[in-house]
Amino acid sequence: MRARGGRPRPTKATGPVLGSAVALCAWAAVAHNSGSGWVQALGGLLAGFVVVGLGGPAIATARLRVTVLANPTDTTAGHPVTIEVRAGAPLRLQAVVPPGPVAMIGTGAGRVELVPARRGPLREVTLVLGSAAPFGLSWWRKTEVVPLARPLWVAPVSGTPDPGMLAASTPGATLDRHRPRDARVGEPRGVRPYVAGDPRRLVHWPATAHRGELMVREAERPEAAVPAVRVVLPDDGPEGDAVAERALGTVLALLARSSPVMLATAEADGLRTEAVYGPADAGRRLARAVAARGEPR
Amino acid sequence: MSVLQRIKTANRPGPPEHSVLLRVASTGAVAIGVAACAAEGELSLAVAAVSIVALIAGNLFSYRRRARPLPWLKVVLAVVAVLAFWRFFFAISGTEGVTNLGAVEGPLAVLFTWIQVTHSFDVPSRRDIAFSLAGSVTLMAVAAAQAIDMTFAFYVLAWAACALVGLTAMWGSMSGAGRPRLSTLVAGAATLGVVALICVLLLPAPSVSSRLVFPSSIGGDVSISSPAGLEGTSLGATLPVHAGSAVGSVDVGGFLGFAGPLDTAVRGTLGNQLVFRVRADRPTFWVAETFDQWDGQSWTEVAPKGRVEWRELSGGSPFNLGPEPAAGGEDIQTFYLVQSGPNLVFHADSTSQVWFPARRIYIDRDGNIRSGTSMGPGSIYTVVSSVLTPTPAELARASGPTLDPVDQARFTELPHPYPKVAALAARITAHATTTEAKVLALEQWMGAHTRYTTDIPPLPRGADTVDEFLFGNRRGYCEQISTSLSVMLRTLGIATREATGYVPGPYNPITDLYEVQAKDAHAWVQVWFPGLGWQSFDPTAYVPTANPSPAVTLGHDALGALHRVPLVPSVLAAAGVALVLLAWRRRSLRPPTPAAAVGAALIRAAERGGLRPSRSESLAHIAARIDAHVPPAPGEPSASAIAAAAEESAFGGRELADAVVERLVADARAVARRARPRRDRRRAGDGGAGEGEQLTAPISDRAVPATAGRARTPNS
Repeated sequence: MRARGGRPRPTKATGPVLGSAVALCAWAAVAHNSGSGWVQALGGLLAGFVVVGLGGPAIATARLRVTVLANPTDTTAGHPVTIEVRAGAPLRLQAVVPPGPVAMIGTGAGRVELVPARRGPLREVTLVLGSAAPFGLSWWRKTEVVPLARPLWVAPVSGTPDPGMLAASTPGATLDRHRPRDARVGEPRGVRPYVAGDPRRLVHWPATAHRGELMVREAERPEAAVPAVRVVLPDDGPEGDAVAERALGTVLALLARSSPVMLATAEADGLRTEAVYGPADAGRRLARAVAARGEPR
Repeated sequence: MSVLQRIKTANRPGPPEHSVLLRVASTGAVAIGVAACAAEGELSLAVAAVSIVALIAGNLFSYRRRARPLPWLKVVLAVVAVLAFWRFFFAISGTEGVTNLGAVEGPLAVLFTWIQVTHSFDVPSRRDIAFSLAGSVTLMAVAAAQAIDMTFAFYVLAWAACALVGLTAMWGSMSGAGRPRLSTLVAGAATLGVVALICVLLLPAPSVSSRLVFPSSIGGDVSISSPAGLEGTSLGATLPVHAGSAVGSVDVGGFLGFAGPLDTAVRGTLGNQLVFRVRADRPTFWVAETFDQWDGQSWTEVAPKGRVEWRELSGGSPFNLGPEPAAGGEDIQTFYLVQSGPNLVFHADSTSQVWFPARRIYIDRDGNIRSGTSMGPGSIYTVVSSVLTPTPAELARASGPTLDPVDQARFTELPHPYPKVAALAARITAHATTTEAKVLALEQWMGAHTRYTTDIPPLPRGADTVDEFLFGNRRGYCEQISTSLSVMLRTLGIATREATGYVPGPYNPITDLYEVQAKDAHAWVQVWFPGLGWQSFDPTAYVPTANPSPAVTLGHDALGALHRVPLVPSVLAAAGVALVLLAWRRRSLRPPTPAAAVGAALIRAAERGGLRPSRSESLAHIAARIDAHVPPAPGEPSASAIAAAAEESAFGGRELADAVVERLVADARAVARRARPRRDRRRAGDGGAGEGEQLTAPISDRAVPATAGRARTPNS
């Protein structure tokens, strides 16, 4: 993805331009009527300083290029996030979509802060690049859409969890393949060799006696016991954000009690139902969520 | 927000400015402004020196206290500033006010200087430094108002350089980019120069307003011994005040030939010496004298009663000489004398007013003006004349009051009848009916039949200049040519007089001054036209030069152009350009990355060692060969280790710290020194045996016996 830029425009140029024009005209009038050629030549030199000072930033701004060197992958709406940028020349930088404070980038590389106001994936950032080079007398700016180094997933703010879902959930449910599954959850499926960490009470003594090694009971996939949250966003606007916030609050509360949580959302490429294992996971899923056009799988 | 709060907000000190370069440039700009004022006479040298020292001290103090400005210091500086303003108003209260620029500019320069000096003690922030930088413009402007020669370009260029560096440093400080880049400075300077040049070329030439009091000063205030007497008519001691004998040329510069009589037998070789500068609304002849009586060799002014009647004008400037300027408007000329000159007041035709720094001046019936004091270098005076430039058609139908009979006889009088000249003039003007047509016909004839040269033989004793010129070799210069025209016109009954002075001289678009040189001295003819008065005609302009040789002409032009080029500024500018090019070249040759710098040093080491590195070789391979040929001593870095670090930096994505880069480059250079052949080391003062030479010699050369190399030398 390439950066897309607009034309340079002066910032608050009326005052400096009018002031300079009036001053130079006054100078020219005095120089002309004083009869002094050197005063007029000096005025020409001053005009040069004014032209370079007021118009030079236009060229400098037009030549400005910014690339994002690095950015985090996850953040939460309303929380500031810092991205690292590289610029070809000193400049003043401000993110506008999402917004952020003004930063000066003097030596080519620097950091820019932006505060995403809403959840959602962020693949590019709109920056206002400003320059007053070479004299610092006037500012010109241009807007440029710069792709991020990698997508930034802006999770919704965690809202109030749904008490009904919390009450209906089963504590301790897990789908983590790397953790011993709790055999108390789900239907017995068979036995398997003991691995360190398996609860003592899961040891299946008859199989152990039969195999000559410690065997433990293994349960079926406890899908029925893992809490599932289906998120249906009414729209992609503030109402949808509010639903996402509540969903995230619910998911986080469920994750605190058991892991994973089955999360069903609608994404741009279709419906998706997958387990989420942690807050970042949940945040990303809800960042990607869009208003549903069909039932989740 | 109340007014008090606004004032407090406006005076709240900004963040301290840490850029030393910005402060140095700003201080330099102000100091150059002060020096320029001193150079133009607006400030005394003592005041300028004290001011510059105080400026530097003040800025040093401000830099040290930039983070902790003293609140009470503002009050003290404000009081000093008020005192400076009070002193300024006190100084100009006795003058004519704003109309007398000359009287105001001196106190103004002092005021601006003291404002800058007091302000220099309280410049903690960038805004304060910017004020200093902007304030330096006022000092330069005051100095520029008095500048009349190109030496002021030194100050302008130096100030522009300081301002350019200061402004770019200000942006560097604002943005955190640090010091400005050379390319930025060069591009900025080029743009400034182009814009300034365009402004100078496009803007109309400055003109002096008659509402102002014109500048005037006297270089040497020595009264003339006799009232209206003519003194100081030459610069050189060898030049006669009065007309000399025709024994050869007199080689002098300066004001040559302005004497009581105009002796056409004197041969003066005029040089390029600048005699005066003129600020004028239009180019014209700068008239010094007019003559009415011709005796065959010399022109003199005798006036109607046999002697010139000088009218004394006293009371000081302005001296009103005659009627107000005609409807055509007024033409104002200010003369700046560079050399001592005669007490002739140069002027354009139809002078109506003179601004001269003397108690009295003298004017005669024909409009010649003389001062009552001598005029040395630096003398300035202003003349207001009427602009009357009739067209040929207006000249052709000129009518109105004619000369009175006495003057008509005076301006048509000839020493003898000139029968041949009269016949020639009558023949040439046979078909001309008006005075203007007759003048034009005679000018054209002279242009076709005579040649201009200053290399003419001395006038034979008793010979007539006009006869010698028109019926002799027809070669001469302005005196012979104009005198001949004047005499021919007089034979036709047309009133003429001979005028001497200067042609306008080359115009300097920067200073807006005509720079009149000694060689611009000229003689021409003035013809009376009823209703229009005396009108100048220059027949010499029609006359081509004698035997012009292209080579000589080109050579003369080239030498003249070279002579006009100011030597010191040109040398300085050339040196500046050379320095910039040198810096640019050094910069372009500098390796772009630290790894490249280390690699270049290692390749240099291999070349010095005669290893002839190939372009296809990797740096590691080259380094291995260096180590094989010049093994590192214990404790010394090996070329391979240096190459490994450089390659890791270049290809491993590992940024090297500046200190590490410096150490690597130093190590690589040490390897290069180590690899240098032994004879080079001996030359560098590091003697040694021949073993190293053999070790590090190129492989292809090792087979060549040493004697073979010696046998090829021409001296063996």
